[in-house]
Amino acid sequence: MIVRTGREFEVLILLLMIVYYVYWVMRSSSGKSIPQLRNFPAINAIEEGVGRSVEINKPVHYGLGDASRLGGDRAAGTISSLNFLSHTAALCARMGAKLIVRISPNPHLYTQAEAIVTDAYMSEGKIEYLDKIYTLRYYGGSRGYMTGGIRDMTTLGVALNVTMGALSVETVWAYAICRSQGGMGVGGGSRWGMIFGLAMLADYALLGDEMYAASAKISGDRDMASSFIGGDWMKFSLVVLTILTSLAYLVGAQDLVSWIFR
Amino acid sequence: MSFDYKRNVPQYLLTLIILVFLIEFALPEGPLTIVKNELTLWLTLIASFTFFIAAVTLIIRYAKNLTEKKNTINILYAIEFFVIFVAYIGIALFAGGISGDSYKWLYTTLHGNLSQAAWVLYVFLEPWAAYKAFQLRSKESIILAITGLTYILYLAPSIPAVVPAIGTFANWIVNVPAKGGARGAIITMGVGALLLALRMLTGKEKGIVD
Repeated sequence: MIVRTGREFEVLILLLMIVYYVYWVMRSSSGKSIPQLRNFPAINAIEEGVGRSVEINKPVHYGLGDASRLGGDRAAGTISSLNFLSHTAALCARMGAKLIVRISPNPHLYTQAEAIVTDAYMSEGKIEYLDKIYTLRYYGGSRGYMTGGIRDMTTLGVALNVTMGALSVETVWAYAICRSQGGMGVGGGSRWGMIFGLAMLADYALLGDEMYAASAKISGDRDMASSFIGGDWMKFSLVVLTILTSLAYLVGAQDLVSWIFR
Repeated sequence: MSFDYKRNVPQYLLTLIILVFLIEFALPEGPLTIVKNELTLWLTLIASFTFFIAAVTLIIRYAKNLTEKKNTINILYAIEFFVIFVAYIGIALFAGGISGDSYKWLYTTLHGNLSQAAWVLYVFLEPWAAYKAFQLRSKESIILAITGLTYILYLAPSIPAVVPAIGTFANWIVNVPAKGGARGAIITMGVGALLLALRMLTGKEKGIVD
């Protein structure tokens, strides 16, 4: 066997995804027209919230995600969160808003966050306005993250709370506190189990893969955006596959369905 | 055109490592599996080293809090940090190591209880947050209120006994729309994560090595 036994279907899906991805990225790179990613109200809301922060003189809080880490199934959400941090920090530097970054319980994200925030302030020519002690806050484990985050939000006030990445209970406490403080809540989560909190409590939510798409949108990069068209094609293919396997099951081809889903 | 070492070298490393993992996933177990296992070990080592860098960064940060003397609260937090930091290291080095009784006592009695105390906060916070979530401010919260209330009534033993339809409706919510929605969301999130990995592989993901 060329492919490992039991992984044939996964490899097939992966190859199909690669074909779609390469096709759309090549199309974009060659300057051909590609469908535009739709606008996400959450992106505009971040800019509006940063402006509001300057007006009412309360800080912008950015949570990197209480379950974020650069590894395993949470890495993708965490990388998206770092992209949003770069965007939010650049806006804060440009407009002169105070920024507080809650560093996830995984301390290796401290160095990432520090580099990203520093780069964002440098790119805006405002590095002298960055107070790292005030901005970058590491609270220890997940419990410290929650209690420290709540303390900062209640004592310093909240104009805007942005929380992106792999989220756990932060979806509930961060937005509830933000709402009680009169702040605006913008969030995106990559973990299905906690999306309910975002949907119910955040003013603007990026649910599931919307966060990845919005992350590509804020980058302003055409190739990054074009890859999502390939992703949409993949979703259509999976819908067709679901219908076909359902029909196959109904007409008695259970062996085929079992092979796909084993 | 000059070669951009700062960007290109990490990108080539990233591409190579992702390729090894992808190909190893697809092929039957063989020499590449050994390479993948070795790389996994190195990834663990590098991750551990970033923990070390983070610890050094935190020490610098709290030392600055002490020396700059801008804010009394920050000075107190810095003193607290250094006292605990020195106590843990001192006990680990000179009082039986990390498996010694003193270290275990410090961890279980001090750290453990303080952690639990912090977690207890959530007992009060969660109902309050749920109240905030159930405020009918949007169509999503109306749906949550209906489904949530139905499920709460279903879990109360007396209600399904009096109104059996509640149980049927609650089970239908859990097994049909909730399960369908969850599977759809997980598939789309998986596609999104896969795309991100492909962009990293091909150097199209901004932010990871820039």
